[in-house]
Amino acid sequence: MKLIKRLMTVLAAAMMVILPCADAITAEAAEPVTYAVKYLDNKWCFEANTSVFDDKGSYREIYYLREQLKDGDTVVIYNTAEKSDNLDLGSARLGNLTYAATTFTIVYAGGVDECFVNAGSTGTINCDVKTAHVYDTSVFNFNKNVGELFIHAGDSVKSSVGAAGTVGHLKVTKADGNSIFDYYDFEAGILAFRDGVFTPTRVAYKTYEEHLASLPEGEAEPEAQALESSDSEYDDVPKTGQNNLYLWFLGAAAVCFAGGRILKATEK
Amino acid sequence: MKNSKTVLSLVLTSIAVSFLLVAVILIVLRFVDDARSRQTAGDLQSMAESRREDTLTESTAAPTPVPEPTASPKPTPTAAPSPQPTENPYRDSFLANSDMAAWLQVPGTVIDYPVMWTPGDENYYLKRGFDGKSNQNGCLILDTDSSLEPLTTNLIIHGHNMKSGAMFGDLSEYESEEYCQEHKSIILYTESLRRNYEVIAVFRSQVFKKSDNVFKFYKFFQADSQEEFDDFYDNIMAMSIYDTGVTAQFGDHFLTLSTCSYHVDRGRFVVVAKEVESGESYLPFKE
Repeated sequence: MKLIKRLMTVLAAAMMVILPCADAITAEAAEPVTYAVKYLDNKWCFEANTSVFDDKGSYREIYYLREQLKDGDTVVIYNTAEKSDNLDLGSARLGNLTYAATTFTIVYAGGVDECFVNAGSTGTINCDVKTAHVYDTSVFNFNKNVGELFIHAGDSVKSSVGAAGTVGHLKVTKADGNSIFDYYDFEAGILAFRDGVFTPTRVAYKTYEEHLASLPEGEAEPEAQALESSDSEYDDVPKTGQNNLYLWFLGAAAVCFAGGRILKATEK
Repeated sequence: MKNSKTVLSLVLTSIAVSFLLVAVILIVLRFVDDARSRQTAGDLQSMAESRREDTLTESTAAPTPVPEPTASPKPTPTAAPSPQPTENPYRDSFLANSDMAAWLQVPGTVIDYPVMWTPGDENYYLKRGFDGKSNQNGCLILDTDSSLEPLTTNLIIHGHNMKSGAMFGDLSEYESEEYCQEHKSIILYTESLRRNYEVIAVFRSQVFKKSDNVFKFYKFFQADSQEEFDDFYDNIMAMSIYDTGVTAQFGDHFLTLSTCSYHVDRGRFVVVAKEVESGESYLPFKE
């Protein structure tokens, strides 16, 4: 039994090395960086490699951040000013955008994979968002499309949330984990909560069953689709990278060989 | 217990040896592909070279008669007559594979390859050599939305970024302004014409999502209006890593060389060149 367990462990380690090569990885992109951004002295400032803005730290003006930001980076926003300028983050598609504790803040970006609106924040975002989490009590508007919107309520919903674009999936859950709303395929400008009250102007959204029925035959369920990072989402341009399959095989060989040597050494 | 560990150790060592063998085979195959690719390109280049020499010999052996100078009044200067068409140095390559659309040459670099055009399947030569056989280096590919006859405003050529430097493996050298100054000329030999280009912009970009509303260099092929031209021109100039000093205006034609780059997911390194005056024209092929 122990033998099988050991074998499985080492094989699992080897597979972890070898499996990624199925997609012929050629190189690693630069690591994502976290930036803390704050409206300070009537201008937007930022600090790099931190999610907490230190007012006494050394910060720079937002202009430089626009030059540095790349796809996948994280931005955490702080704003306590009564009035602030719009926060333009350029065209990068952010991996994570968090409204940590903000008074009314308008953000422009190239796109956001995950957007978190912390309790008590107020703001607007002007780009497509893949997944959004809004925590009670917030006042927030999505001016472009949202893939999935999760509203996390306390005992009852108190947030005001609107979407000018489409929303693929809305799920509202209470603190006890019970789901209150679970709807799909909102048409543009339909989704609206005012002080926690669901106020769509008309029924231009679907229940889960209606949503499933509307999918073309044989199409995967939405949850499965959301997990897929499909090539078909991207423009069709010849792939001119070189695959490094041999490196993965070398890595796997090294892991297996090391495992074998360790076992041999412990044998004595 | 001791026995089981010995067995396990043997199993793992065997797996390690198998993986190592596969890795070695892959490395050997890579070298074989590189060698075959170099051999093919070398053969085609030699054929072109000997044809150039033949053409030169013919032209020196039978000089065009020059009229004796006469006392007639000084002739009024006229526009320089276009040079007589000559034999295409890449004639044999064109005839050997009808998928070949042109020959791309960047003097002073390893880029000296045939360019394939397969409208039915753009990726056909992505992992095939000039002879159509499997080869990881592939061939340079003229984007299927580009056209030489009639000539589209922009011709896009895709090539593999090979670590050996083959194909467009050294294209990213253009990141250096100095390198660009030394290698600013690009030549494209088509069936009928030698087209000369000069590098105008060098930048990094990426393949975007279909839904992304951004400038996509790989979507620009034809400018029928000043606005369409400006959109492309303004964007490439703004994205260029440095100022090449070359400018363009509506009506100019471009050649875009694109290869994979790893600064972002699906990144591309791009060199755009503007067509300057054409070189010699070529005689039609007689098979």
